[in-house]
This record gives sequence, C-alpha cells and structure tokens, in this order.
Amino acid sequence: MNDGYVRKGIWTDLTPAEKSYLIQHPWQIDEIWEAAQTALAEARSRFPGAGLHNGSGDAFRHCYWSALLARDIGPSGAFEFTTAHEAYSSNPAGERAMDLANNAVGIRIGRDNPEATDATLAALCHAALLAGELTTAPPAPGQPYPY
Amino acid sequence: MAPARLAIGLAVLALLGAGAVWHVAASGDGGGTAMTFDPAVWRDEGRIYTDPFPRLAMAEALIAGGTLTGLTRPEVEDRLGPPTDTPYFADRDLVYWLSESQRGFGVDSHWLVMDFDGGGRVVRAEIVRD
Repeated sequence: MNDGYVRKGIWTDLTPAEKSYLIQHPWQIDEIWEAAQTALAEARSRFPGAGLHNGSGDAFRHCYWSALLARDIGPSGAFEFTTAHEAYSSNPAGERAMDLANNAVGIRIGRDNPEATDATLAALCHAALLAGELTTAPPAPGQPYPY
Repeated sequence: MAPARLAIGLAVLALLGAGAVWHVAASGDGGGTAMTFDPAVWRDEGRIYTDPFPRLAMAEALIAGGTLTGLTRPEVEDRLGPPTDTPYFADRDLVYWLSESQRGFGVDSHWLVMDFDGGGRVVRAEIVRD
C-alpha cells in the first residue's frame, strides 16, 4: 500500500483533535460517520454537478451535518467534534471561519429541533441558506470573519 | 478518563483502523485506487461530480509522479483545463476542485492547489481539503 493521500485511510485523515474526541467517545463513531454520509448524499441531491463545490453547497453540507450531530450526539458534542474537524494547521483561516459559522447555525437548528427527522433538518438548513443565514464564501481580504 | 473507557476507545479505534485498511485493500477502480491521468476523464463533467470522483485519484498520481512541478500556468491549463472558479484558497495560484470528502468523518471537498515560483513555474502542488 502506498502512503498517498487517497490511500491514507480513515484514521490518518483525522485531525489530532478528532482522534482525541473519538477515543473519548467511541460509542459516537457510528453516529458521526452516518451524519457525514447523510449530509454528503443530501448535498449531492440538492446541489448536483458543479453545485457540489460552490459556496451554497458547502454551506448547506456543514449546516446539515452539524444539525444532525446536534440532534444525535447533543449540541455540546457536535460543537466539540465539528470544531475539532477544522483544527489543522493547513486549514486557511477564511475557510475555517466559514465552516465554523455554518456549523454553528446547524448546531442551533439541531439543538432547537431534537425530535426532527433528517428531512426536516435538511429543510431547515436549506431555509437558512435561502434566508441568508449561512456563509457562502470565505471573507475577502479586509472583511471581518463570520465566526 | 476511566481506564476501561480508554481501553474501549482504543479498541474501537483499532477496529476502525483495521476497517480502513480493509476498505482500501478491497476498493476497485477509482475511489481509493491510484489512477493514471486521463485528460478526457478529467474534463468530463458527467463523471467528475459523481462517485468515485476520478479527479482525486488522478491528482494523486500527478503529484506522486512529479508531473506538475516545473510547468507554467499555460502548460498546466493545457493539461487540466481552466481552473475552478472559486473564492476558496485565494492565496494559492491555481485551484482545481477534485471531489467531495472521501475519507474521514467530514463533509469537505478535496482540492488540487498549486503555487508558482518567481519564474512562473509550479513549485508546489498538493491536495488539500476546505
């Protein structure tokens, strides 16, 4: 097996902070994994083609992922893990701020709707996007960070 | 942390690591297997946005082979087409979207980013996530 990026595998692709979180919360591994897969699939459906990498698709993914986590492992755990996910040295500050801002909206949605279905959480995140509550681009030079 | 809890966590993560190794070993074409660069596939919008997101494996092969290092911007664009129009990674010189997250527990995208030296040639090419 080579040690290239694609073949690194699951463990080596985690940030140190994510590894620490998962070691301390191994019973949440399935839920965290499933939430990510659900969010990716929903984003593929709602933002097909090039929409996958535009700001709206990315913002929705982070919001929905975080909302699912807040519902399934609790807002505190969702905050801790999604923040750990962004904690790596090569993550540009603007992109990290954007992701954290959208995660925060998702965590609020999940916290406020603990009995919601996946579909409802997705709809709420999409509504947040349409309402301008999500951040769809990193801050331009000189602009304040959203988070 | 209680020793029992730590032991359980480490055991689960060991299983997770073993699962990752199995997954990589079992994966077929693309989505985890190095793939020779194919310019037609790279530019095929009917394929690049769907699983197994072939650009990621091709980018890995390009980097591993050192193919991009030393190229000028026109030479890169001749091979890879126009870069992705995105505000992401604004401090990098050339950016191509590769795939949605293929590993880990996140919902990010993977990108090929390049920097040029003072002479206008690629001095660094790497895969990053947003």
